[in-house]
Amino acid sequence: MIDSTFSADLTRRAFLGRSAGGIGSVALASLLNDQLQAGQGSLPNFHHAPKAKRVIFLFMAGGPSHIDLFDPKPKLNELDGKKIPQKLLKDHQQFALIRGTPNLKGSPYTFKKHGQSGTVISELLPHLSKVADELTVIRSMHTDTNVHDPGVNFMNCGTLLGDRPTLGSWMSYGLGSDNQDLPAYTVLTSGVSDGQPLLQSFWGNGFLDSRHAGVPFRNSGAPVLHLDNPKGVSTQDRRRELDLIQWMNGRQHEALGDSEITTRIASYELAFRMQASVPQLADLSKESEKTMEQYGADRVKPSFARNCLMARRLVESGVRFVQLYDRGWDSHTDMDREHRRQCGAADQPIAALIADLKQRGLLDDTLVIWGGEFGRTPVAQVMGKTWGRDHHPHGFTMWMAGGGMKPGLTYGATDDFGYHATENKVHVHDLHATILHQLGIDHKRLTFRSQGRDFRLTDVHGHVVKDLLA
Amino acid sequence: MSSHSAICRLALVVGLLLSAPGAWAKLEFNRDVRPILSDKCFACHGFDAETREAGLRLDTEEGAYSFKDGVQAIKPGALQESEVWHRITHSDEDELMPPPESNKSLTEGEKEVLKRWIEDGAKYQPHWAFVPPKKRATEVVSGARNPIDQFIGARLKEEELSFSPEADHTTLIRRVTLDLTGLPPTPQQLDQFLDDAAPGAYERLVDRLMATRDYAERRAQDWLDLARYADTRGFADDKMREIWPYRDWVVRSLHDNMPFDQFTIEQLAGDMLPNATDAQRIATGFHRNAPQARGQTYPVEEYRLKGVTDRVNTTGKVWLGLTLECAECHDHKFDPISQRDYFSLFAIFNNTEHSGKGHGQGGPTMKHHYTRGGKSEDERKKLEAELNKARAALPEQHLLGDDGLLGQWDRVHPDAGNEKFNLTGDLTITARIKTRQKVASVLSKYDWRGKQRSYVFGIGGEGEKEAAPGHLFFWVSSRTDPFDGVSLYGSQPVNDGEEHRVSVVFEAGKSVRLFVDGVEDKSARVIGKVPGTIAISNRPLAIGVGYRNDAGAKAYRFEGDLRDVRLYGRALGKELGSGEAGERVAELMAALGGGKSEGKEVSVPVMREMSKPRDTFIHLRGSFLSRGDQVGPAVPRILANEGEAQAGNRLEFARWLVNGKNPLVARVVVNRFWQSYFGHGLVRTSDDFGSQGTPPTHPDLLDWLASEFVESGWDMKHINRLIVTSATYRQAARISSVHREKDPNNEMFARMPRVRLPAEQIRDQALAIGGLLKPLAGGPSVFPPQPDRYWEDRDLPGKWVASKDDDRYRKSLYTYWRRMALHPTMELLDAPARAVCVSKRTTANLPTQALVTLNAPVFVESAEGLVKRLLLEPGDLKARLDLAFRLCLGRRPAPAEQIKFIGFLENHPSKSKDAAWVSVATILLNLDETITRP
Repeated sequence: MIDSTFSADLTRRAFLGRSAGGIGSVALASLLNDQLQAGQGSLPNFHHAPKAKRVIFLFMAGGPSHIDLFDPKPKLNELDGKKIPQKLLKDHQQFALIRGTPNLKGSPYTFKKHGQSGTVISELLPHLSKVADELTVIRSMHTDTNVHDPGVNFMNCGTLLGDRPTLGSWMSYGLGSDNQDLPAYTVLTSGVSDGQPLLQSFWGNGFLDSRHAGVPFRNSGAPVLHLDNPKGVSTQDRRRELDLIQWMNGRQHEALGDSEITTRIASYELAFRMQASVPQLADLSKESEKTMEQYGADRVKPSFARNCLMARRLVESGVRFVQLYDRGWDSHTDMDREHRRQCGAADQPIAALIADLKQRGLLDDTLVIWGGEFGRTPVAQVMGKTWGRDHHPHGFTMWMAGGGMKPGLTYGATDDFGYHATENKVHVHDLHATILHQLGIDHKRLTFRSQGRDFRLTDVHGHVVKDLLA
Repeated sequence: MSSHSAICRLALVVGLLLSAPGAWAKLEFNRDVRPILSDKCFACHGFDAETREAGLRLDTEEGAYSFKDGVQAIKPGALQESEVWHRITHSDEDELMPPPESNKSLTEGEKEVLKRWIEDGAKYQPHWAFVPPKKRATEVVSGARNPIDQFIGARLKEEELSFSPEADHTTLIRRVTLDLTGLPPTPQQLDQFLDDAAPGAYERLVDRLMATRDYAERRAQDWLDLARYADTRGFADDKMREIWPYRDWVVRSLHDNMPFDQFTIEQLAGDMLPNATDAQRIATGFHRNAPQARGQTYPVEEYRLKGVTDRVNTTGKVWLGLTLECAECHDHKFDPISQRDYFSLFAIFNNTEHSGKGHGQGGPTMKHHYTRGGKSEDERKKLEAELNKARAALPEQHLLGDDGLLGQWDRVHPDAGNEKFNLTGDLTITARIKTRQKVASVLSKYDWRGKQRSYVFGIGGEGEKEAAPGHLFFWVSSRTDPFDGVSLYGSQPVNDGEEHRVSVVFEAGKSVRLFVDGVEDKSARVIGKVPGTIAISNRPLAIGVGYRNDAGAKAYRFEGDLRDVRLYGRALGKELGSGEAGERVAELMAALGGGKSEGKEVSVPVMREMSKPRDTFIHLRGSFLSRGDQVGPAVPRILANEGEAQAGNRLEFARWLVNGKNPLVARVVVNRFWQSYFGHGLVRTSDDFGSQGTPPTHPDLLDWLASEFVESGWDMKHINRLIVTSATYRQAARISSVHREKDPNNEMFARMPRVRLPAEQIRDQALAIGGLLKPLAGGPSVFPPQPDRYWEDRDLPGKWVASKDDDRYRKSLYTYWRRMALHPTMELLDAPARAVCVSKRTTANLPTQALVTLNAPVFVESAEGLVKRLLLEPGDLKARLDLAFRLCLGRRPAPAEQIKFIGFLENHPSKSKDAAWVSVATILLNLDETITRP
């Protein structure tokens, strides 16, 4: 369906798009925009009316356990300690680390129905349970690998190698930025210090140009690299320098007529504005005591909680895509300690973020996504007195909130063991298609030509899961 | 951006067709029709038989003209009898082609082109790139300096455009110096050129520049993008590999102007040449640059195959300009490359050894000896003399004392006790040793096979690749299994039969240090992160012996004198070193690269063919689990020449590529040379010469250059020289309203484009202007400072220890290239991580880049360096300003600029003269003019 306010423009651009030899109209709009001004939004180019304008992706790096958080399995509990049935192992060759035939492991945690929707959530997430009615829980996710970094790459860019643009890059490319003073795509990191490495490809721009790369905000020093002037250079000094730089650039433009020079002038001005706007954004001193308590965040000390609050501030300022990496979910051998630690740090701020977005009227058009690169096995990895779970790609849970998703819905199912997704399966490509759909983008039509081929986030796959949409 | 140029091109064609029939009204299949058919029709009616709809193929004449059920898809000259025409103009959505849901609808303009083409007789042409290039004569045009200009000039005339005037001399020298050497001209170079009034001054300049090593280093940069050269293996563990000798091989070969055929053969198959030299084997590092997951990453075979597909795809892109990867899962949809062709090439690259186990590199390596790059023999001798003196001055060693001492032993002891030695924090181990053993344990509470890791200290490691025989090693892990901690390797042998006091100090979460005879080994290699805690192993502490998957210590027994072995439960400090004298010895040893005057040895990944080739099968739908037919090695059928023997292995394949008959290779290579100077190639899609690529704007020029390249004996410098000495290259860069209107993307080359400098050149130029650049060649990659905790914040293994002295200021070509976290200056300025082959960099123009050149320490240092140079300059403000402009821009300031800058200096609020000049230096380093090749 095309929203009538956009249709006239869409037709014009769509024509141009097709005559461009197949590149999508959105992509073309972005190209045209390059000519006008770098970083300008291109909102009139939706394929259909969008439900969400921005995305917050809460990435639980390492892989949270669906079986212990969202997908209770009474049968599994019953069979606790028994060997895993061979039939489950038929279609896959090997666990990531477990060798031999391991024993099933039920979840020691209590699950309850919450809210009016009766969404089932584990005791490990008491705060999230209070906003259960906002969630759209997908219990039937599946992905293509049980190795960490290819898994994260896959969740971000739809390929294992990580040589293609990530979700946020595609969004930035397709929709531009809503804020002239900030990057369209930012990345915030937190979690234990011995977690999985964070690779450049996780927020990479692939073959798109580097304006579409995610900008990682740093936890120490200035939030953006080289944001601070060198020692002894005041804002006024810098302004004076810039004035002369721009005067020289202006002369150069006059002499040569190269529009790239005007873009350069704009870039330097934006850099100057960023030097003021980014620290302001990262400065939480104006946030009320109540808000800080609600999130459980410290104003200065880095944490996932602080990042959740930052995420709200970023989307409020028009940043389109914010990805939070929370590390430490890879609980191989001490599930109870590690998942309690992770949930303890993440549960309250996530619930606070949802409530806060809702209270500010932002939840309606902000899509919040929660999940990891895969789930965890229903079999135990035992180490002395403690146990954990291995990597599991065949069935796991993710949830979304806001952004036009059907709230209170629990969708899809895994088998009795939580092993395979069986009912209403949702592949990562389908998730990507659905996310883009909510943003007003037809995943088949957001393309970029590289090496003679029109590439998409979803490659040649992906279906919009309509059942999930409000 | 290539797609953008395609828009303009098509608009131009359509415009001309729809309005007055001009020179272009005569359609040419390859130029005008094939792109439309390829883009809109071939996916379902092309080369791929699997997905071909209704049995109709439109990529060949036979297919298009054939009858099916009495209907002819295309009847030459008869529009109304051609089914295609009816289908593409049908009003019924169910009948319309391409189907609306394919998102491939034809525009009115495209339909018009197809209409004309059918009416004109629907003539097909073979795809241009598969037809061998030929030198064609061209008309003589005025202003031409060499044949390049004849072709460019003729086309300009056709388009009613003309050459821009020649750029002024200051622009010319800065342009060609930056292009050829990656560095700005020095004031001396400026003077030499500007004062040379004799004819041929420019050509002499070019010759001077092309003879420099800088030239080879600059060209190497482009080639290393293609070769996806990096210092790490990629994937999550992204470990270091010592493949830099390959990088040096490229520089040396380009400096020597190695003919491109030899350059090709040695890189693809140097190991298979008869009596292959070490250099030829190092050259094969080209295909060892492929990312390689650690051997144990599951499934091992899949990750081995990823390496092979990368080799096939990269070869396709670099030499053939084809997107072979499209044929991995199915026949190519646009180009005549079948899946069988793909796996026949795969069979050629499928025979490299691959261990696929453990943490090793998973492939063959060769030992390579080198002496530290950049140190001349004289310098080295001087340092060695100083070192001997400093050693003689070392004082007697301190007594170590008993504070924190947990045990002391004077002999081998397999079970020295257990619980008491379950250390989890700081510790120190010291011993006096005298041995000639290559491998021996000193103290161990560590059994990796038995998954009981804790800590171990000894000589020569336990069989891992990083270890060096006779050198000290120390491991400590925070997990009993798998290893998660730090490994430390000494830089010098201690098994010379002399007595040595050896010590290791571990400070939990902070540092790990090695001492030999009271001198800290500052060149010791630290791999991994220093853990905050140590795991507890159930193995008893063993002295002078270690574990091999057994609760009893039996392995690596120490033979020789072992005494005064001490274990402390704290980190000892000063008492281990020999004060300032020890520091001095340590420094000198580090400067000499670890104290070994004869240099070092590294293991360089190379290719090595297995004696018995692997069987290769087609992977159905690209999945290695679904085996199709077995295939043998072969070149793609479309490229095979009649009567040629089939390439049966890598060497034969490499020779086939450069036998001079391949229609693609020479074109693809000269096109990239062109791209390097003009910002885009004659074929804009420099990595795709297939039917989805853009056809050449100047096919005859491309063919002429390709033919000339082969005829010259594949002489790379010859072609590069032709390009930069052409009148086309020497044009001014001003964009006039005529250019904007008629040729906004400069496809006709009626002007020289301005090109923003690549990341490396932006940094190198700043260092050169600041007088900081150290022109040392080759050797291990260096670590110019990067922001604190840049790796640590991302939990990447390893530690960036900033290089000291000269190595901080080397060319960016030598900066350690980490695939998963490139040095941020490089990354932010658009250098690729090189996870895959890159044929053309994308260049952005971003505020985050402005922040780099304004604020990053290396640019601040460069600005300060420039000021130092300026303040040494005798003369007044104006003379200094003159020099500043000449250093940064290769020209003197215009009068208005002089007034403005002098005003700026005089009114600067800072009281310090230096600060005002640093401001000026910052301004000059940040001008669009400075960071752009003019």
